[in-house]
Amino acid sequence: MTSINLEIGGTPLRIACDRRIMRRLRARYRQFLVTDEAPLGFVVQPPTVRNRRHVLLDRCGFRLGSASNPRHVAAMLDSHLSALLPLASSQARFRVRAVLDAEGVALCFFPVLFVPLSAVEQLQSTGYDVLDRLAVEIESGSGCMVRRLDPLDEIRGRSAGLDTAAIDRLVLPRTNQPLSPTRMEAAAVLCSEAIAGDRGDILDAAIAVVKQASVDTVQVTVANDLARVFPAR
Amino acid sequence: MTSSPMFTPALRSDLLRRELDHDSLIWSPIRPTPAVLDPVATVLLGVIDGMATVADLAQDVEDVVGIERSVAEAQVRRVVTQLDEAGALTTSPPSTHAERQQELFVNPPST
Repeated sequence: MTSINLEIGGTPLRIACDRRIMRRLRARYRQFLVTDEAPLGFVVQPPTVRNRRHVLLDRCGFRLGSASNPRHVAAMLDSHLSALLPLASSQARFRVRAVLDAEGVALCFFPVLFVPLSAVEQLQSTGYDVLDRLAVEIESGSGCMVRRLDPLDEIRGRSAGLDTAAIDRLVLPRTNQPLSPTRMEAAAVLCSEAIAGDRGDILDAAIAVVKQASVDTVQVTVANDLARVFPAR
Repeated sequence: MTSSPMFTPALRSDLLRRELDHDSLIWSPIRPTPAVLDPVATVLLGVIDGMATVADLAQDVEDVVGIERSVAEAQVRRVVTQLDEAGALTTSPPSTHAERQQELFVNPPST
């Protein structure tokens, strides 16, 4: 294992990875490279005989996602690193877990989908892709995810499917209330997961999202039956 | 906590408010997350002007909606309490907690 040191948006961080990934990342983040050793930010574990996928971990060892293609791992990393870039006006940034399939993107809020690793692998084996601890920017006026014109944008999220502009599904934890949440209650949950942005932009973005998205609720238990979250394929 | 009939609720000037499907989402700068208001609270939010007391608001509700005074006052008190918990008011209504404590001794101790 080796590492590269970056500084993005004033935040220094180090990415530990193997030499093959490092060469790819050095070329990708050329303008963010620094020489000083930075605190550990992410780790990209190389494939093993048992697990033939690259695994992306955060500095706490939390598994953020995995992919067999190094390009896809780099795209996941892009999504996380872009959260360090300054937020544009009229945008809000939210923390979500995204589940992607051919039909679109489902944004899941904590603690939804906080499931064991085996369940995530089960999801992946059926064609879903899971991106964890993701930061997405939402345009407050339209409620659409933003693809910004910055050096990371060219490749940011493209291979992971996050260039989808509209958010069509939200997955919320079911509350103690017997009825499904109203759209305003869904927007309030979305606001509580905001990590950056003006309060007004956060409110507008959350309401714009729930206006256009269908809202699914799930019972939040560790042994949750994932089939209840996503309809059978 | 319930509010006194003579309490005059006033909304913070920096309170953010959005409406959708007859519900409201309000966000006070002193709260980390917004609060959802139901349609009744949304209507009352629009008539709280910083001059009318809880009793005045209850009288307005009684006159306009035609419900009993006691029900109207209970609704207004509920909404004022909800707004206070959401950090939407400039001042908190006085607590009647002490009055409720006195109710514990409503029956005099036997001798």
